[in-house]
Amino acid sequence: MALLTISLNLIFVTAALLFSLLILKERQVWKIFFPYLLVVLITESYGAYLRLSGIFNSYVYNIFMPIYLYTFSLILLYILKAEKLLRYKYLLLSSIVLFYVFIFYRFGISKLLSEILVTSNFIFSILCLIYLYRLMSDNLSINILKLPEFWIVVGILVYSFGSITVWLFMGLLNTIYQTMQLPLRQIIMLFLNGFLYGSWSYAFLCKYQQKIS
Amino acid sequence: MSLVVVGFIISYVRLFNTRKKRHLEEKEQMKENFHLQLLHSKLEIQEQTFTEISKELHDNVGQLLSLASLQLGMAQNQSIPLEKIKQNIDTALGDLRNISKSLNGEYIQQFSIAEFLQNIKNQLDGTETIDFQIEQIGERYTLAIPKKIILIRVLQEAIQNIVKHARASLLRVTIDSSDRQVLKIAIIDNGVGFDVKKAELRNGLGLSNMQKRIESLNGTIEFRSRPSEGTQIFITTPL
Repeated sequence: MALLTISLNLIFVTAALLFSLLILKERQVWKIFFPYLLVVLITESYGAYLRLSGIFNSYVYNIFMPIYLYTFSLILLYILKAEKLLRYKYLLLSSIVLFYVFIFYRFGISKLLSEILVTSNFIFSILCLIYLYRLMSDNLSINILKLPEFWIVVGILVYSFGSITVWLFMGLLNTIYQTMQLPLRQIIMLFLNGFLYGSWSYAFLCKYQQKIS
Repeated sequence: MSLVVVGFIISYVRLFNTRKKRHLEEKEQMKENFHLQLLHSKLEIQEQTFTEISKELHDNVGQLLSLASLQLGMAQNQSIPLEKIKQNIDTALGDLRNISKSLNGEYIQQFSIAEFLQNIKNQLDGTETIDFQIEQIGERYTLAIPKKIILIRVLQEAIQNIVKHARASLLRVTIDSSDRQVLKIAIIDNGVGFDVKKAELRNGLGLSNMQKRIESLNGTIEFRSRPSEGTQIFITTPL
């Protein structure tokens, strides 16, 4: 089962990475998707290798976490057209590092990942909902299902909400695994990853179609 | 929880599309209304133009030609010299040419506003009924043709009103372009004046027409007048 979920996860990331090649020449935030997905693929592959080798792999994700936070923040701020905030990229990066250090000191290394994921995903979900609210009130003449930004946001929203739930009910999911031998957490995370990278792949396709049409 | 979010997204898309459909229908309706209004305005302006032409022909050319016809009848009895009849027909022809020129947009667009006013002044000077003064302040600017035609039409209407109804002995038009951003035109007479509020309510003297035309240039027009106190019209439009 572990091998299956790992393989599917890697397939989703690879597919998104390949689709991001379509928008490689795009400007602004679109150009960061390819390097980000490449980092994700390397991290996931290395993490999977360590896991399958029976080596503790949390540190890999701890190192990856600031990149995840910074990239998602940049993407959402760009989509929300928060140009003023985007001017201070270094400030954003510093805030993320400070937040990271604060959580580390406050909760320790064992809870670092869960605390950061819950807090940051909550913020990301709020930003996604703000985008959807604005979209509904500002622009009613577009085809929403062909809007790349919409699919990027939908992917992040579902992923963030799902991740929060997984981390909040981690105890219950572990109990289910121990009693019923059902890796529910892996299955949910697989679904969330599939949805995130699937939405993004479709968004890249929409962006590419916008360019050629 | 994730499925709830997915459900939320699906509902959101459905709601968005419903609102979009309604929005597009409203937009289409507004577009139709706009076209209808535009058509209505065009017909109104056309109708007004025909009325003006008819009036001009009846009041000037018609009168002169009727007189000439009467004189021809009398000439048959040899009581009127043919020279007098020819003079009346020439005047009628002159008036006809003036009407034709003043209605012809292509003809008037070759003049600047000041030159156009000078033409009117030359015509009015011949009648010796009104002292027409023109004053130009600041540099002369070349206006876009549609803008110039609209301004000239408004000036034409205002001056025509003064000549016909104001019984004024003095008419002064000031063109001020010293601001470089804004063109200001003032039309002032010492005639009998009128009640602006009443005229606006009745749309008499074509005030609302002038107002609409100036508004189409993003400008403003202000009428100041009282019975027996003359009239002042102030036009401001971006250069």
